[in-house]
Amino acid sequence: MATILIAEDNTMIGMMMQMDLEGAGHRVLGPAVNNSQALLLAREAPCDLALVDIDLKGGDSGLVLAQLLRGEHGMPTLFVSGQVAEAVTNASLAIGVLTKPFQSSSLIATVEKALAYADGGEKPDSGSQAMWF
Amino acid sequence: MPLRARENAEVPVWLLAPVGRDADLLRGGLSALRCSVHALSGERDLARALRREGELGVLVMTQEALSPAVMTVVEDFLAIQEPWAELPIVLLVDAAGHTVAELSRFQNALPRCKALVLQRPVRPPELSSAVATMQASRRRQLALGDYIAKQEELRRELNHRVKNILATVQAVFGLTSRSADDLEGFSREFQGRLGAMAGVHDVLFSNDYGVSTFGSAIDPVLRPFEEGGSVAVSGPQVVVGPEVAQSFALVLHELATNSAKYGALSVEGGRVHAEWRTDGDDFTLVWDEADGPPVREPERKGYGTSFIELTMRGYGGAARFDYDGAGLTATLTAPLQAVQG
Repeated sequence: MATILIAEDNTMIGMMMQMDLEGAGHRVLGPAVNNSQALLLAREAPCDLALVDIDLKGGDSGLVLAQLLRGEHGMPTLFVSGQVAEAVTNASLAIGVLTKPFQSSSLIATVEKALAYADGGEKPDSGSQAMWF
Repeated sequence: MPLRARENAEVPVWLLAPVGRDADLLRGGLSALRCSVHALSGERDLARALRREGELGVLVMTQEALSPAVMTVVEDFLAIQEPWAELPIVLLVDAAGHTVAELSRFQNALPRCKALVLQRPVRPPELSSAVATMQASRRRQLALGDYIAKQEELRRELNHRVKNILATVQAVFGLTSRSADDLEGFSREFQGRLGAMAGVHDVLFSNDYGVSTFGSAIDPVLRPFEEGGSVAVSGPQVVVGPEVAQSFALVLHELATNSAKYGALSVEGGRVHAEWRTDGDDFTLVWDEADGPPVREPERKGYGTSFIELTMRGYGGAARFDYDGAGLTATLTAPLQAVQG
């Protein structure tokens, strides 16, 4: 079991991710819809991984959030976004990107890989659904 | 986007006239155009001018400038210019004496440039008119470039939105399938939610995804539910952005669906009053059901409740649900600033 922070401004996608991850036995913080909510949650409890959408509410940037989460909390980010090109351009900020849309089973499998990779494991193989940095 | 957008763009003249006072004379001849004229000293200077970022000019040159080195610079540039661009060249030649070989090499480069050959001596008005025509063509190229860039941006944006919509539909599918009692219930709820999303999209699209009033945003979602009972809607004019309009429409869809299933809208004579108000810095929406069957708090939190709570939390607000004998009262609050468009 891991603690996972979700930053996603689409309520339905956020709810689905939360339900999937809780169903897989993880503890979920969020979903936060913007950077300030996410940072507030990150202060509450140490998280093993943050799942961060690139476009957040109110024009907040998930790229900035990823940087702050790592800088202030040492927390690794996996981008979850349809904007793969932007994620790849900013590869130094995160450990990878999960492409939207995705199925529940992909989310759970990708999060397991991300947790292992963030924990010092080997870099997983990139595919069409998930790319690793 | 109109192609006239670059009507006033500055188009400089690059002048290559190596012999005697040619450059000065030509510069004088172009003075009526009131544009910047850069006299270039040779192929290196030309290469620099052609590659200067954000500057698209007209090249004016005399036949004496057509050295192999200059031709190479021009050819190299033609190969790398933007796909929508064609370098305009005004070439000044004598009736006799220009080298055929150089001109034919020049002709070979023609597909990617727009060349005009004028025979010397050229009177200033004639030269000015030729250069002005080339400048106008350059401005049209710039406008085309803008247009293509804009199309590309729209294409990317569309791709992004489609992915988001598909991801949302996938999430709604997953969430609905987990909360539904049976296939029939799933089918009804899923179609209802998709229908609500489609309805909101229609309103927003007809509005060019701009601002709308709160009332007009939620009205199409509530209308289908008026058959069962009465739905009254009231509140002051609050202008909201597209994202807020969409969220609240979906929130009201959930409240209305729930009511049609368990609450006031499930019985003849049941009534709902959806009323919003602004109070200082706060926005409040009260969904009040009356004359329906007695309700009690559900044992497990369903999709609707979670969705509404999470949506309101997203605005820095909150949702409260009061179940009593008279019917459900949902009170949704958010900072007015977060709601207003």
